[in-house]
Amino acid sequence: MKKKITTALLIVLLSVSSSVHARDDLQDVAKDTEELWRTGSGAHDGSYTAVSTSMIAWGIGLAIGIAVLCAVLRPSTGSNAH
Amino acid sequence: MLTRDIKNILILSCFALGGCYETHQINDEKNILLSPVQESTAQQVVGDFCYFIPPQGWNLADMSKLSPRVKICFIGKGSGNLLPSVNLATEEVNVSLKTYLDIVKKDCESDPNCLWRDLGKYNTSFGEGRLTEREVKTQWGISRQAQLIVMKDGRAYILTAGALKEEFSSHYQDFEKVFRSLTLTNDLTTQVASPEKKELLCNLIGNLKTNKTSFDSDQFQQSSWKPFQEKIINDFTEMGSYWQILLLRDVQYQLLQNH
Repeated sequence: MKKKITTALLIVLLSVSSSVHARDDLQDVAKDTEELWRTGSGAHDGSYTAVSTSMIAWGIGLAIGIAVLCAVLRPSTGSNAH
Repeated sequence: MLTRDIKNILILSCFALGGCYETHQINDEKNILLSPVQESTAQQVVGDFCYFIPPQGWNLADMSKLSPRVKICFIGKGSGNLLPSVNLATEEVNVSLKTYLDIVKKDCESDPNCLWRDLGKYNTSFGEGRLTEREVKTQWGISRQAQLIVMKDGRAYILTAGALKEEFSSHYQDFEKVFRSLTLTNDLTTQVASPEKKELLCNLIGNLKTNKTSFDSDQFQQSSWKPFQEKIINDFTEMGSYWQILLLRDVQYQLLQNH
């Protein structure tokens, strides 16, 4: 009887511990994968910033172009009205 | 009637562009330095300071619009659509420099608009780094970027200098100086080369610390903090704007802790 109880306890203990270990291992793998996935984002962000912040010249140029067009169109609207 | 419609469309476009422009607005350097820096002070102060000296006359990009990994960005003047710029990004890593470079290379290779190459070893004051180059196709032309990557104590420091491909060579000397100036230190005051200036700086900081008035009080701001800021901005120009910003943040943080 004692032997049976010990065996049953051992089986339960082994199965529980192995599932806990498996869960821990999975969590570790997930963590490592996520870290590896994120690695390199500093270099990516640096490169992205170099392009995105530099495009201001293009924005200013376009805004000036539109402003000039607006100014040119204003007198022509006046002449059409008459 | 048609002209009026076109005009309305153009005016609306102006408003829309205004909104776009605002997202990349360049801040006046002095305003950034003089405004109270409350956010991320502790993060900046705890641990080491990594800084570089930007080329003279370059403007500070709006820091609130940058990625959290990009610590600072300066923008220069150019004739093309893409302005030259220099930025510093940092990232916590637990891989070697070689592995990091492999990841960066693969990341670039997966993008058909990106061309990456390794330019070789590059020695910095805090260790051997690697100089790399990227060419990124954009609709405004090809952006060529030199990227210096250095690893230290589980952190990658990435200094990126970029310009329009055709203009890159004209900025090369500036970029080289920027790369050479990359420094990692746990005490910004020790980086001042002149012993007299270093002593002056330590005395100025010491005087602020012995002042028992609250940091937020008008009296302290007007009689102590603002003159100190002006002194740092005007008398330590050789250290560069980024050093000045970091020093002011550091001292401010220390004062807030003391008061």
